[in-house]
Amino acid sequence: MKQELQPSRARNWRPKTWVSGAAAALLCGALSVAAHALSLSNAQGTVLFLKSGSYTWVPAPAGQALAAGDQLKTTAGSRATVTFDDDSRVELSGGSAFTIREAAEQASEMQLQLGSLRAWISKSLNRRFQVRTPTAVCSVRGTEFSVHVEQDGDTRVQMFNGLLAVADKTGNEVLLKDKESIDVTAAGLGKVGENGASQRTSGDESARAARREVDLRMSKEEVQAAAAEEAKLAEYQQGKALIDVNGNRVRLEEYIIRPAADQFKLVVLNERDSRFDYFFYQGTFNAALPADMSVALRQLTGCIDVACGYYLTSYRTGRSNTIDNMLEVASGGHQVDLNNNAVGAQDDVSAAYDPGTESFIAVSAGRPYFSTLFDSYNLSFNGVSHQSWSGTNIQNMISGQALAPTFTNVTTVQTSPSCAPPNCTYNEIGEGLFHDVVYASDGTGTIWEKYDNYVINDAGKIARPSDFSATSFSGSSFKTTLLGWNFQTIVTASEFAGRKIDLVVEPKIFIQSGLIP
Amino acid sequence: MPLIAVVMAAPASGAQWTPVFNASLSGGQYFFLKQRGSLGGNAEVTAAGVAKLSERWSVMPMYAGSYRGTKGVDAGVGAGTLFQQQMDHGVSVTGIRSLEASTWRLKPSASYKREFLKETRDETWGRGLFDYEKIALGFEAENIYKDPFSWRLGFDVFRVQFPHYESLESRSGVDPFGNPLGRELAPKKVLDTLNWQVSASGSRPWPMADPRYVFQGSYSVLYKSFLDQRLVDASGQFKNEGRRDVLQSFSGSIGRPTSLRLFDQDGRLDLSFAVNFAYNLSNQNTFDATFAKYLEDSYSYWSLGAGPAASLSWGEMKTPSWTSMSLRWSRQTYRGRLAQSGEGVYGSSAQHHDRYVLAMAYGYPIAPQFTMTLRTNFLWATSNHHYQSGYAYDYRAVNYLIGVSYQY
Repeated sequence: MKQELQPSRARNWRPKTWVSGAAAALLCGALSVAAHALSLSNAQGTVLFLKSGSYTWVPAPAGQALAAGDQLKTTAGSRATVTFDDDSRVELSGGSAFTIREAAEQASEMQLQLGSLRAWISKSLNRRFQVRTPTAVCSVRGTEFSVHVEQDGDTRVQMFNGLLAVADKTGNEVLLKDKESIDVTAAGLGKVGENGASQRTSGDESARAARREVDLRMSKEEVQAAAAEEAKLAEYQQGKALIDVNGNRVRLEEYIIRPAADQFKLVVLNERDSRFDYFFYQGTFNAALPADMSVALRQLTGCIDVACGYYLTSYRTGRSNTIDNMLEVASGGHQVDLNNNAVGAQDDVSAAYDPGTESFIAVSAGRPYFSTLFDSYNLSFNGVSHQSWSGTNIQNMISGQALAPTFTNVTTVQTSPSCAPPNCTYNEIGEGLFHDVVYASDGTGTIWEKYDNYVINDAGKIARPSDFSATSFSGSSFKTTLLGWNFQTIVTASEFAGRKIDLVVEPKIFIQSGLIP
Repeated sequence: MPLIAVVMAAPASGAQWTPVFNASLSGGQYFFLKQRGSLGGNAEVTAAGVAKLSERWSVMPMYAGSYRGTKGVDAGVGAGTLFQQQMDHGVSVTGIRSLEASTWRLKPSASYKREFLKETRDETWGRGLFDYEKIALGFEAENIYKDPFSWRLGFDVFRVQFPHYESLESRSGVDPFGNPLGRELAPKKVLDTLNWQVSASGSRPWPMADPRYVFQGSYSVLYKSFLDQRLVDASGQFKNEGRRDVLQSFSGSIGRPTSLRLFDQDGRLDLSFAVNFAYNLSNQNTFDATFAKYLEDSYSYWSLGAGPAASLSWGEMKTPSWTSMSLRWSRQTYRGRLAQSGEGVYGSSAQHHDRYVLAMAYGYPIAPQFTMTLRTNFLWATSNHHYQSGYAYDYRAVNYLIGVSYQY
């Protein structure tokens, strides 16, 4: 059981009390030790030595003999050991100031003005050893202890082994036993600490330094991790990673290739965990493309008032899952004023996508609107033609009209009531979801194609009609709003043997290439 | 956890061993716009020890690991805004050499870290698209001129690799007509980087003898070499040159620690104000294929941040109760990346993004070395860039976490 000697004015120790020094006295039991020959046995870091009677501090080498009146200083991080001829020793920590006041055979007296020391004193019944601080005197024999002095004179004494009487200047006295500690301030003696307290305090300094190293290490890790995080965010910001309607990640890459001076090829790649799908659109223009391709690409969907300076003479577009493909090939492209051709208003354009403003604008009746019509077209699935047309210098796309192409359509769109979902054309807008299905088949249902279309946000959530002012999958209002969403289209066909082509694209791609009507 | 056991175990005879162990466990939720994420848990463990091998040499092995099931408000909000699980494990070894006749210490270090990310239903641990690994070597010189205040000079080189991330284009093959789908010179490992960093930092009390204010500052230069990312030209094609970034960062803060009496107990109030500035100079450009728009110098940016923070602690020094609050504003402005309208129309002004983060926390000791913690964070993000396809710039996000932390 711990024996605690109650000082007259005991108080809790505080790590720092902002009071002036020169108040406490530490008096330890008067014992003595022979210590008449001293030397500096170890000097690490910067240890300065001031010879008694001298005014010049000089670096102290290990082995330096010491005598009464000599002084030592250690800088932060340095360490010094003073050894006596009976193997007693005093170890000075960094930032300490220390004076040898007496070095006689029967008594040795040291003064610690600032800093910390730890002493191992050999037992001897007839010798006295003293350590003074600015506010205290400590006399010990046959013991191991440490003394720490703050700038304001507050003193902490820790007892590791032995017996120690401690008193302050007012005469209050307490006896420290093994592994006890006490703080002495201007207000007097503090409480005697528990046996483990001193050890914990000693350990705390190491633990604090260790935690500091850990914190520095963690800070460095954070800085380096930020570099990796930034690379990832750049991919996100470019929309290269999305979530599809099934909750799976879709990686998306879009870019343009220039196969020839008058050609461009837009490529969209999709990758999921277990599949790879792509879309491409390769166009050949009537002239070499300008350095700023956007000038030409803006005219792809048509031009108001005057014929387009750049228009496609042919194109090839396709989708594939690397096994199956859906291909469209067109050639013989030429400009036609749809609003003033021979078929009247049947194919007039009343609203057109204006790439200049990235929006749809109204086109009044009779206002010239030039679009590219192709004399030849073919849509095929794994090489099997489903729809096609051909003609010469066609002027409209209305079947049966003069200068219209001849259509050879194997499949036609199936709608209710001649069919029912899932193999039918329908949508779920009424159910609150922007999801529609387009189904086309031949008369027997053996050749067919199906388009499953979703409008989704970046997290894969299906859009709701309330997100749009439009109520159908077409029209300028729908397409304008669609620009801020993603378009997922899943294509299946009778030739795919149950497989699908599943693409998520930014709808601008499909709108610009005319694939969204 | 054998590594933790090794770190926490007693050292070989002869060395003085000081273990450090921190752990925390918490649970909470993340809210983004009007969506609410499911309840998730977070856990962190740091186990380290400093072995004093001699008067001059110490060595510190360390393990740090974390699991995050509740997204932080400052995390990116691209795809998978609500669902995100992250796990990382890192080990490091730091040598600490005290110089003779000096307060300088030299610290060589080596580290390895692996981060795993699950953001979608189809991702599994170890196969995340954005998993990455980092291997680093570093050297730091530190002068603890007045403990705990110091000056530090550092040099680090580290390599970041995303093992599962390759450009799709590099393996796109040919179209059904036999023509290539990819561009010439299409790179493959576009995110991998080799980084070189030089840094200087320090802290200083004022007045020196009786500190009432604490000043901290740092400056660093990070040279980032993309190992396989080629520059994009005005027609959207690749050049032979590779991407290089140089990021310079400045930061500084002033702190005011104050002792006070609170609830009839000793207390401490720390007030601080911090600023930071960063400037990234990149040679990379962007070609927006969707809008056929070439954006020169689209990765260079500068960012500025500032904000106050306050923390208050009271009670036992070793296990105090505490509360903290901070507010942080930051703005990032790109040099060549132009803002777009909601429909994607490019304007003439550069993109800038503002973020305001309010963080509040409270800790209450419930047992020796155990503290119950409550944290909440609010984020307001705004931008002049309104085309938010693929990434959100204008939103609100909130999260909260309740948990327990342990410190040895």
